[in-house]
Amino acid sequence: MKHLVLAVLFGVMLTSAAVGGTLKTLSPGAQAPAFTLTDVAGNTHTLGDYGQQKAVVVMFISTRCPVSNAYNERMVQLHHDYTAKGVAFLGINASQRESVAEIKGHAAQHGFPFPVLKDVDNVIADAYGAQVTPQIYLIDPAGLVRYQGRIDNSRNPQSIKSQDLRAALDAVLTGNTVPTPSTKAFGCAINRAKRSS
Amino acid sequence: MAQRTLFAAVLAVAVLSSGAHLCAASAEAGHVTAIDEHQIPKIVAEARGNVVVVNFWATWCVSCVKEFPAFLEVRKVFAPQGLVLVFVSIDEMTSLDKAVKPFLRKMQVDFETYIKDTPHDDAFINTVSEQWSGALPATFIYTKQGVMAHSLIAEQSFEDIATRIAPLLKE
Repeated sequence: MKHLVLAVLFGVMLTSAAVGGTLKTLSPGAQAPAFTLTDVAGNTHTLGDYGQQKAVVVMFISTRCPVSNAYNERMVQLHHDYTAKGVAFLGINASQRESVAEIKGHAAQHGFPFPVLKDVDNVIADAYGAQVTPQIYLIDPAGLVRYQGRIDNSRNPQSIKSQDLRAALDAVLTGNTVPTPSTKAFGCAINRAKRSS
Repeated sequence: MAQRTLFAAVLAVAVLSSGAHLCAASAEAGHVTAIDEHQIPKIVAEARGNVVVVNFWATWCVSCVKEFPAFLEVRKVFAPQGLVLVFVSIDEMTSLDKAVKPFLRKMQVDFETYIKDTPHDDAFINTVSEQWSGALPATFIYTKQGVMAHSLIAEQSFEDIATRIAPLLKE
């Protein structure tokens, strides 16, 4: 019995360590990991599919996180404002609690004009070191991460003082240095797959 | 007769004392202190000599609300052995009276807790840990010497926390 308890406790520690604070997010300047993921309509997308774009915005989002949901309209507006400028937007849902059917309904409900891809077992979230929703990675045509972090500084639209993603997009599109290439914000931890090691 | 009077007096004092204690506890229930990024290291430093568990939570964070009772249970079991539990709410200050305090009252939290009161989220997060993205729930466990021993960025159970703090309490 004692051995069983110890084994369970050890298992708990390993599991928590795997989802704990050791995950490091990609730093600006790093090569964005390639991926092949399927969207909620069943279409396959690779990062390479968007190689001709002037920039790709990868957004780790959630259907249930109140912070992520606070940004639904802003993500739609960003897509509206930057698609014509050659920017592609991709939503990625890596939460193990959120099914493809739920993600599909959520995307339709909020009128997402961008594809939302399902990251089964959060393999791509791990590769990017994405920990929170929403979390953004802005990738340039060379495949380099030019910005990672929040969309702006406040989930409350009335309190926005720093349009971080827009500033980064404008910089990349005009060939300038991104003013603040890495930011942080409070959000929901991505609910990850339990791993035994 | 004198004995009965004395007993009644003792009883009255006991009841009054008890009432005063209850009033004090009631007044403290849900007391929340606003802090910025500079206060976090001070709070941990002031508890040095104890194992310190700092839990960052928010009323909008479903996992935080779910794990909250586990932390209260951990405090109940391990506080006598030298554990200090620090709750820090990440809710907006505008939610303090309408969401944070009612939740703390519901959870019967009768000790001091904290709420973030700074627009500088980056600085606040980095002050706690450069490796922390800001994802909630987040729990950081410090040794008696004030060194961070564990950073847990996920929902925790009583067992998750207990297995980590038990060895630290014995150090």
